[in-house]
Amino acid sequence: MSDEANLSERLRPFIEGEDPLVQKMITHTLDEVSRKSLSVDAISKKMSRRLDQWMREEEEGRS
Amino acid sequence: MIITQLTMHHFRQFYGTQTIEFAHDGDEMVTVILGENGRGKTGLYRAVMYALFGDRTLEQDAKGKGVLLANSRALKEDEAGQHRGIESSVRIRFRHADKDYELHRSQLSRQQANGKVHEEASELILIDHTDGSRITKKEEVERFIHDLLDERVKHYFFFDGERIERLTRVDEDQKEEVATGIRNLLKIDQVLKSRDVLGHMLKATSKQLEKHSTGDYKKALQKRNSLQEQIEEAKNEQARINKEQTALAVRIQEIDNRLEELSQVSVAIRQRRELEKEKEGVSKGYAEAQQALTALHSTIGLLMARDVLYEVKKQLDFYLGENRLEETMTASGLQELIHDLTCICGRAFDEDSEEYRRLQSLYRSVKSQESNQAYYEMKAEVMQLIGYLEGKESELSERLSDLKSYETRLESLNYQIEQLNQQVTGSSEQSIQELGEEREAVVTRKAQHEVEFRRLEEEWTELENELAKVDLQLKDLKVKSGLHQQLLTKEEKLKESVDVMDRAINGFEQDVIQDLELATSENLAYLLDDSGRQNLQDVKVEQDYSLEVYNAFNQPFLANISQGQRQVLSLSFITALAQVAGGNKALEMPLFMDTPFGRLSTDHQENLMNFIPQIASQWILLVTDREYDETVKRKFESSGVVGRFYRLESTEPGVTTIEAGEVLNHD
Repeated sequence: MSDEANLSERLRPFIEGEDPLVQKMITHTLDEVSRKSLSVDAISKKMSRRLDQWMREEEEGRS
Repeated sequence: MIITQLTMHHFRQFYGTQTIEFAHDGDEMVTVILGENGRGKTGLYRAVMYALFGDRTLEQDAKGKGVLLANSRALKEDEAGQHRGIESSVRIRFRHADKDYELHRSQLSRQQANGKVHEEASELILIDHTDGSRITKKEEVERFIHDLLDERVKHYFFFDGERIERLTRVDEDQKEEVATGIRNLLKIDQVLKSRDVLGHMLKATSKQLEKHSTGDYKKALQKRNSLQEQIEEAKNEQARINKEQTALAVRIQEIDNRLEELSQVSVAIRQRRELEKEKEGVSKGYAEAQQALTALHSTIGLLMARDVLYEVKKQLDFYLGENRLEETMTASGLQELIHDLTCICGRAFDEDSEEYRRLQSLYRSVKSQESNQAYYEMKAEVMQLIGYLEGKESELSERLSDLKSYETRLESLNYQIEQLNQQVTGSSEQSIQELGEEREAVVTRKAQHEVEFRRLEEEWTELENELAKVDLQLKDLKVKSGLHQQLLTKEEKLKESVDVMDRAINGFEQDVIQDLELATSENLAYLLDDSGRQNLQDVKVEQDYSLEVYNAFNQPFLANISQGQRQVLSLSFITALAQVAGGNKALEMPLFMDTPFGRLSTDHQENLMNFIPQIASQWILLVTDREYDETVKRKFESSGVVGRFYRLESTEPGVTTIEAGEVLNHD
């Protein structure tokens, strides 16, 4: 468990079968937290923007 | 992190600049540093802790007593010279994630007029030699080191062998700190932080949704947020009570143990009385044996001269010959017979006869014997003395044996009485009463907490039911705009993410704890000797990462294991941490051990020496010559894991030099 990829990998069995967007949200958040020593607030803002984007893309894909 | 080099300048016993290169490559990853007590082994440990964490004191230092980090000789020279003060520094070169770093920490010291030494921090620099960059801000350097190794678990990797067993004895206050450190090491903290990020996003989205709502919808949202806050508060309060309950349960156990000890006191007093009575008899016997031995004092001098007596007897035998004539005739009587030419039997003979010649010969012999009379008397006395001493020698050895057995029994009795004294001391009716009262108060408090815990549970269950109703109400209310719809979906996805994350964290942490349990049990079985292996079967890692060990009958046994076994258990857990944190490769972290074998049996020590090189990427061992004698050295070096060997030599009082030694049997 020496890098972030390994951490996401170890958590994968526990999130498998969940909503794809939820899975994506969790793994990306884990990667952000592992890679950078930013504050919870900063990572939240960044991930919030990313979630908005994914939702928009999903919406566009549907229409 | 792999430490490649340590350089000290005027630090503790290390005068001038001295460097140690650590073994770190491949199979030869062990560095052995040998030094007798007081040569600076702990000085090296101190140097590493100072450079990495800025520690000026160690756990073993006497409280309130300052430890001088500057070298005394350098300070004296400075005082006698320009008196500008001296710089003491520690430089650590290490490798991490394929990069080469150098950490430099220094301080300035100056002897003051009152004899005290003023020491103040000077530089803290981290250099990345891979790209030449430098970090000089203290906070940034400290954060970098914290990311390498959380200070809360530093003692799991850099430790003093004498105190390692304490890791299995952490108190309630320390447990949480240590657990956080372990979670950090195992990266569980990152999972928890990710959960916090998702929770933070959910709250922000909910607030945003509330802000963009109006009328009934807004009211319902406000109610929901308020309910959620109340539920969170109730759950937090429950967690606090739970923690306090654990502490109270521990206190009840402590009181019970003490009360049990006190109930054993009356038995101890009776045993002590019997032993004291026996001691009286033994003391009397001892005094008599001493007296009997004193009576033999004058003989002891003679016994010591016994060899001389034998020699005198031998010389006298040689001089006087073996045959001695009966003293029935005197020389004058024989001379008379010769003169009268008459035999002893009364028969006459002449001067040419055989009888005459025999009488002449007998006369010469008797004459010679009479002239040596004094020597014969002396020989008789010498033989008498030898005969006397032969009897005395066995008497003396009997007396000595009596005295020795009385002495041994007395020592044993004194020891047993002392043990019983310790059990009896400090125990009294009063303390039994006080403990009883405290126990009652703790039990009452625990019962109150249980009631409060249940009340809180009912409260948040009710709040959650209400929340479910509000959620339904919100679903029924019509969404006013597209923005609303988007925020609602976002909130829904985040809520789901938080729920999934909570379940995942629980599963993940249980998985890690299970791995730790398996690895610790396996390591313990490997490190223990045969009898320990038969007795201690399994290790359980609790939710707060404290340990419990189970015996062959599956009973909790931690409180009963020896100090040596406790040390082995701690080492098993440390190595398990390194294994689990390292994943499929050895954790890139040195194991730095100061005098680790002191309390270990030969079997435990040998097992450890075989085991650590298999699971660690670097092992630095500070040992005494008692722990690491020539036989151990040869055996260890022949295994091919020792890369470097150093000896700490004292050149003058308080000054140590590091001398590189040869690694034998080295391929």
